[in-house]
Amino acid sequence: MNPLEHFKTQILPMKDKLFRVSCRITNDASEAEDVVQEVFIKVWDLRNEWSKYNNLQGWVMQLIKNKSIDKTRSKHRKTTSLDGVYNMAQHGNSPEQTAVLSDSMRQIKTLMSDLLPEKQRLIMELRDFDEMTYQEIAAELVIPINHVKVNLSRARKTIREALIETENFLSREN
Amino acid sequence: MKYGILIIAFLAMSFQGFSQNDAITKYFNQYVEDTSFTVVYISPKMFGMIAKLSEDEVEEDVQQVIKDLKGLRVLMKDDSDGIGYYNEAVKTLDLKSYEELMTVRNGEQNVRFVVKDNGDIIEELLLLVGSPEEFIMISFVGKIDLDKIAKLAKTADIEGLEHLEKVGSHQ
Amino acid sequence: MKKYQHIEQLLDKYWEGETTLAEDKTLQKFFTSETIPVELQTFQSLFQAKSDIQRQSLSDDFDSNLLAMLDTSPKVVQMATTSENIVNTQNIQAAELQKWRWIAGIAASVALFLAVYIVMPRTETIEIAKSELNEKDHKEALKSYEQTKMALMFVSAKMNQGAQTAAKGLSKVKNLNQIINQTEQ
Repeated sequence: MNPLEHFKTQILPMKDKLFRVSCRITNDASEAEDVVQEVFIKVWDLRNEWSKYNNLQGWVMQLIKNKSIDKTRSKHRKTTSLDGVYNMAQHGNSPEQTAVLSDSMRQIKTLMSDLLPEKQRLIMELRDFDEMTYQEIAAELVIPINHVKVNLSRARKTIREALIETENFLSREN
Repeated sequence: MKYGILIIAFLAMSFQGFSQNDAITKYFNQYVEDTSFTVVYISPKMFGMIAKLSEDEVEEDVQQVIKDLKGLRVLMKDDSDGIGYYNEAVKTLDLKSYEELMTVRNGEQNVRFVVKDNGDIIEELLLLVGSPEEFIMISFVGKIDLDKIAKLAKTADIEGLEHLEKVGSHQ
Repeated sequence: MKKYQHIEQLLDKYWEGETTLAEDKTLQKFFTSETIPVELQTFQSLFQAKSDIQRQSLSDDFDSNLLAMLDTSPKVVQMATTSENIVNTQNIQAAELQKWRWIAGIAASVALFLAVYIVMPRTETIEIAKSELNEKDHKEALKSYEQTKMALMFVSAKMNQGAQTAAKGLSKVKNLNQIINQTEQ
């Protein structure tokens, strides 16, 4: 199979999955699209090296993650204020992003980033959005499998309580 | 015997950057021979070498922080009396001479950040963690930028988080 | 009703983290359908968000745009660049370090410490010339870099954790405020 064939059948089909992973990290759909495009171009340019990788698709995924992190870091430098650690904890979506989010997405993502500790938020994202198995999550985060379930449960319950509170508040209004 | 030499060397040295932290040095030396502790020490010279690593071996944001560091000391131990060690450290280390940055109690986990500054520059950052599972002490010396350090975890990859798991952030 | 009973049972399992991915899909299908009883509407946004996020995909012309940008001329075979190897080495090293405790640091620290402070005259601060690191130093430096990075990440995470604990309480209020503002419009 020539490289172009291989690229079209093995690598290009990963695009939506890679896009979602990049969205998760960058929180910005248009940045994420840039990331996927740039990584694909780089992967293509390095087609002579493909045989060196045991897990080509894993390598591509890693490139996506690294690039997404890099983009997020350079964005952060420009937008985060310097008023101490409290402000560091706040991070909202960039203006271009909000146009793309549905109300549900915005609400749930805000709740998750405001109320959940990093680890719980990440586990919930990997399970509920990326649909990874507990095995996969445990391997990815290098944590014991029972930690996955426990933290997932805590995370979901926290979100549940927040949704119930919101509901109660609204019904009291009426 | 090896550790004996290590202790002597420790005590005999005047570390550039560590010279004002006698309490920490003493405390550190107390446990450096104890094999049940995990000990990490990174010297000014080592930091100089780290600064020479090439760009594609390091993460830029991390290296930006590292380039101003002169020393790192870490003591940690899995121990059901982590809180005991924590309290002992708080007493022994003369924390009054430090400025308290943040103290958090998260369930049974105690976390304390203190810094020592020289005018505008923070010269030392000391973190103590004590819980019913472990005790951790981390001391950074050098020119410390708290903003930059705080930002690191915000955009951290899974690597940063799993380390959190490794040293145990039980919530 | 029996149908909702099944959903409610699945929901109970869901909060406990005991649902399979297939069962999650069942819940998702239910909550994104048109007919949801009032008492279950509270949780609709959670599964709707899941569905919306999963439906995120690239624009239709992504493929054609990308393929147009690829340079498909025959490539001169190049030697592997060393940077690739270093990236791989770093990934492998990082992965190994992630699995080990810092016990590994003791050996490196002790060895370096002995080498530097016992062997060299102690009152000098040794100036390192701006030259390349030799292979042994390079390895040591990489290891120390990873340890320092881990320590920094841990400190940073703890800083943010503390800030989050403070932010938590305030965030609940903020969220309710957002909902109020939306409903008032």
